[in-house]
Amino acid sequence: MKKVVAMILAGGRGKRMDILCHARPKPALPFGGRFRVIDYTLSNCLNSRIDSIAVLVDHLREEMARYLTDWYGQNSRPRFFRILPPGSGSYRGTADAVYQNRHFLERSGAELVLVLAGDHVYQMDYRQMLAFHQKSKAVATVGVAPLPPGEAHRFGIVHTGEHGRITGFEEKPRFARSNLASMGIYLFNKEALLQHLAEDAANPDSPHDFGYAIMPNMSRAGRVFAYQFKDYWQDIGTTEAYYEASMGLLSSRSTLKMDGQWQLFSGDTLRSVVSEPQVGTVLNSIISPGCVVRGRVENSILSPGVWVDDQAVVRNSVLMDNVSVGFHSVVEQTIADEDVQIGSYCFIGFGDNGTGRGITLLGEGVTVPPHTAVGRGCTILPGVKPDDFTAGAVLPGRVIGKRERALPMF
Amino acid sequence: MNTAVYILLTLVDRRNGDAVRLLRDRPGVVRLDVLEGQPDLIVLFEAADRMELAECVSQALATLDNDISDLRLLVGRNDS
Repeated sequence: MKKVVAMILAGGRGKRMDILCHARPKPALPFGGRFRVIDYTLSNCLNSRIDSIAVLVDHLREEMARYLTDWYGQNSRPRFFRILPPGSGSYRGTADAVYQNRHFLERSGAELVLVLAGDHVYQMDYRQMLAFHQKSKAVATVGVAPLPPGEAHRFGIVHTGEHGRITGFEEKPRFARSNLASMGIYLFNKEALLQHLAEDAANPDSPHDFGYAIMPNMSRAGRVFAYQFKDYWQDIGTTEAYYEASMGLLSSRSTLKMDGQWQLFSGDTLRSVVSEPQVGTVLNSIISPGCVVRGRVENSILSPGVWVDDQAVVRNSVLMDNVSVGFHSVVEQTIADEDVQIGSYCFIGFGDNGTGRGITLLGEGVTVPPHTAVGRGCTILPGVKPDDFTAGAVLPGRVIGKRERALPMF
Repeated sequence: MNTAVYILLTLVDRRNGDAVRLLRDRPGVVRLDVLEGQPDLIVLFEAADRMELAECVSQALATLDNDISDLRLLVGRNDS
């Protein structure tokens, strides 16, 4: 196998993720209990025996770097692991991020460069894509996945001809002529990549983006092929998509392997076994280490350290690290971010909000006081405290708390 | 019916009459009394299970819109 270096793009903002990504880079979002979104891409690299990995960070880079440092501490398997922030300012686009680190690539000794999105969830053996790339004698290969009807407007769309050779790209078209979405997975011959990155960097009108600039130019100039992937792949672009993907993990039809067949490597620090007596009931749920369930949990995902008290019921919900649900409270169709405290005798996520949006969002660090009803589709912004719940009832669809201004780049 | 909750409601400007009219025929409401002093109302909800109970209460509270000043949920003991 030719020597490969993986460049994982982990600098995105997650603009459509609402409060879940206000203070957290999207690749660091919890997904599937004790895992973060980027764990899936990192695990793919390790399972594919790629042991030179660089992660390009930008937005909230310190938080991302902190998580990656923990991850490497827990999984010191890659022979070579680097975290690469921009030299100064911010990356101007995905292509610029790789271009700014061209000296790293030149020194790496790799012949092939695998560029990966750090904010998608999938399980892929990159060695099969590599074999396809070499067999096709491609200069670049793009991972593509067939989309269900009506989804094309959210993705970069690829047009292919004979043997999967790419004949055109469209970024997020309103009406697509193909159903093959680019998965944000690109495999390049290093020299060809460096040449195209240099040309792109010299073009002041370029968006410096792989999807918009590099791949269309490369496909016009040389042999670029589509490698079709038909297993589990999710681009978790919105809060609703995140919720649906999370609930999908609990479906008997889910093809994401959470049973150790495809090992997942987490940066989560292992917790001690909880000595509390486990007297609760758990049905069809993912329960992480360090959780205590004394009530009932059904069709839900609990990250490490979640506490569900006596007589409490949690259903169809995602509870992130260290959430607690108080005595006799009922939680339905809710995403509760880290460190949310729900008091006793609360009803969370019920009632008709008339908007069709059914997910109740509790932001990081929210404290819901006892005897509170928070309706379906409500958003409680991060850090909201008991005094902000003035009436004891938040009617369906309402927002509590002040929206922060857009976060600065640094 | 085997789950119940008593709701103690304090209303903005003591709009008791409006609240009684809006609540009395809601699903799950089995008793509703106007109180002397605060809180203004006590409402007893019953339902077959906890999820249905939460749905009934939340739907009923939504009809009061901005008229709620304070709320206490007192969950009935389930001995069944």
